[in-house]
Amino acid sequence: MSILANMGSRLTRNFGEVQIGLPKQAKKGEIIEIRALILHPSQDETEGKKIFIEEVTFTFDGKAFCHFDCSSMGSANPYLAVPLRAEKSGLVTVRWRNNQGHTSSGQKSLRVTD
Amino acid sequence: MHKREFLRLTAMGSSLALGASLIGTRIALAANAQGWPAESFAATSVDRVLQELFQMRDLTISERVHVQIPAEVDDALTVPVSVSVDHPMRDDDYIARIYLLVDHNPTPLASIFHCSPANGKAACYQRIKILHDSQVRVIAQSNRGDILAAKPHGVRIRSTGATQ
Repeated sequence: MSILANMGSRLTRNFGEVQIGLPKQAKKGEIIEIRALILHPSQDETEGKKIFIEEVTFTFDGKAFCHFDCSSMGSANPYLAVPLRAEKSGLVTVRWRNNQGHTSSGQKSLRVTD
Repeated sequence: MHKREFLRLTAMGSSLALGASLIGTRIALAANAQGWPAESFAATSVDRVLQELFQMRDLTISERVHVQIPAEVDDALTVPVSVSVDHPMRDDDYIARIYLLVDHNPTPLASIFHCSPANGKAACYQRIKILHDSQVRVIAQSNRGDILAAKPHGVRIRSTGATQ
């Protein structure tokens, strides 16, 4: 119980934080998995104030390559994974926007070897 | 004394800045939703959503859409769904969208995943709420408009009243 309570306060403190998981390095042409955890609540009007993430965009070196449109039926603290064909080293950015128009993002470098 | 005070403030300031950069978030206000399909998400019946998205065209069941979802879950608020589609991801022929619907949710359309040839394969993983026992549908659409639907998967919510 106290673990859960601690986790809850940690999640509240880091509202909007994006954690990105990438392989340490990838071979050129390899299809890798990009994981993103966003610390954000998900509630519809039956649960109180309606707040949820509407959109999550994945970009590589500034170019969007996929995105999710979501409803309030997405889980709290969305955990998403998408594939990417690794062609070159660069910066992966995951940006979210919620139904109240707030937005934030996280970034992580991807290293690609020949 | 003044100097010490200044140093203390500077140290505080830089640790705050460090904290902010560690968290890596800058909450800002974005321009209003562009392209977020409000009408499809507003629909409260699955038939409405299908009408909205596909004009009720026949959704051919395809063995090429693979869905991994538990048949029974304890936590209705965090149900993992993994989807992959056997389909090329070439510039001229690729899966452009993967729709995820839960028939008996108040908002049946859970999400739309928009993908591109840069993904390398058509797949995604996410976690959703499934508030009642329900069929879950996954429908993929190619850039050419081809529709591939997975066989609906039934998901049962186990009673969560097991306090003992």
